[in-house]
Amino acid sequence: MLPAHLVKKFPKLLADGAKKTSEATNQYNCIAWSAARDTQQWYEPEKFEPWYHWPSELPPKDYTFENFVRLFENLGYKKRTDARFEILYKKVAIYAIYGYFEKDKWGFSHVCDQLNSGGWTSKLGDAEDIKHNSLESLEGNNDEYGEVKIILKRRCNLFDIFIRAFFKIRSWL
Amino acid sequence: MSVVINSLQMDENLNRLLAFRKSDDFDWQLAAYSKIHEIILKDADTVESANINFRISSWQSSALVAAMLLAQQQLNGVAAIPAENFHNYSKWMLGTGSLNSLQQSGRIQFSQVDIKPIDLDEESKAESADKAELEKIFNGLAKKWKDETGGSSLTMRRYAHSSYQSILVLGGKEPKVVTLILQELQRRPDMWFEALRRLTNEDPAKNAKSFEDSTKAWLKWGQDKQLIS
Repeated sequence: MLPAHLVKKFPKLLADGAKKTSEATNQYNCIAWSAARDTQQWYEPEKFEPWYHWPSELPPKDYTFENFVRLFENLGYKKRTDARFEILYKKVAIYAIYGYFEKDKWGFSHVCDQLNSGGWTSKLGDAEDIKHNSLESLEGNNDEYGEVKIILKRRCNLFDIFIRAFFKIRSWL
Repeated sequence: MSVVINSLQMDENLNRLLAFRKSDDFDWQLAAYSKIHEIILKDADTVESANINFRISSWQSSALVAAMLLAQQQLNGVAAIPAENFHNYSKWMLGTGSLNSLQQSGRIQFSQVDIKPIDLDEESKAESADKAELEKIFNGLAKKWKDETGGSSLTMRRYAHSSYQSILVLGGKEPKVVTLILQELQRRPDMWFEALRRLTNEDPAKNAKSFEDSTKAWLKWGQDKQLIS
């Protein structure tokens, strides 16, 4: 069951059928989760705390939207796409808010990634991880994540393709 | 850039502030400077001087000035205030005659300002009431900060939040705020480390490998200093 504080912030999660998949923690954030399933480090351009991390090949303290996109591009996510489930591709959706950091510019607010089942997984700030079925369920609140700005995809490995095919076939039955 | 405040609306707001105070409203302080913050943003282009003529205690004036500075930052197009500037704001605002220096610098203009710390006798009488009130203000700010930034993916956004910065300002004036932060950290662990570093100039958690390590290190520091039990 979803915690009340999440429903309050993201009321659309109820209709979505989202489920909590971890306890709340300040140890890692959505970027660490979606980029590397890293549950030991918090990924952010500014290293506020010793357990914070930002890839050395990217400029530190740079909160431009492009810097966050580049992080995922460096992991092989290249082509801009849509949210459709594709057996051959894993996808990440990057949320942004207009004017979030700088006037007249989009600012990174959240990222989630598509599971082999076709659903999405999100680590919600310092709160819980959740599995949600649509990207829209986290949209619509400019005090939180704003809207999905871009979706990127990369080719899955063979194992993941096999699993995804299984889920796809199961959905047809 | 100077921020000039519409006197009429400012007076209206200050009256509201005083009314809140008289009615002993739980959140009067919080509501007051949130409102001031809003008003400054909204009426920034109005070329009229503010007419403030009432007495508030020193830390209340800090909160007021904090709201003004935050507004000024936003008007200058900086939505998120860099963490390294927090302490400078506090120092600037808390120095003797900080409000005068603000006026002299032309950043904030008032035709009449009487925001003075209350005199020592009054201060002493009001001390215990002030402490209780300070705790209420702190709890209100902490709750607002948690409610509004809890889901944020970036700590920058959390540290830049106006409530967090107001706590820093209050903490620079009232040492008891460090204790309140440590108590809050004990009850509901959260990202209080930046505030503690800024307010104490110490960092017992500099080698922490996790959030939990940092929390433990700060709580031990607080116990060693006999700030918390």
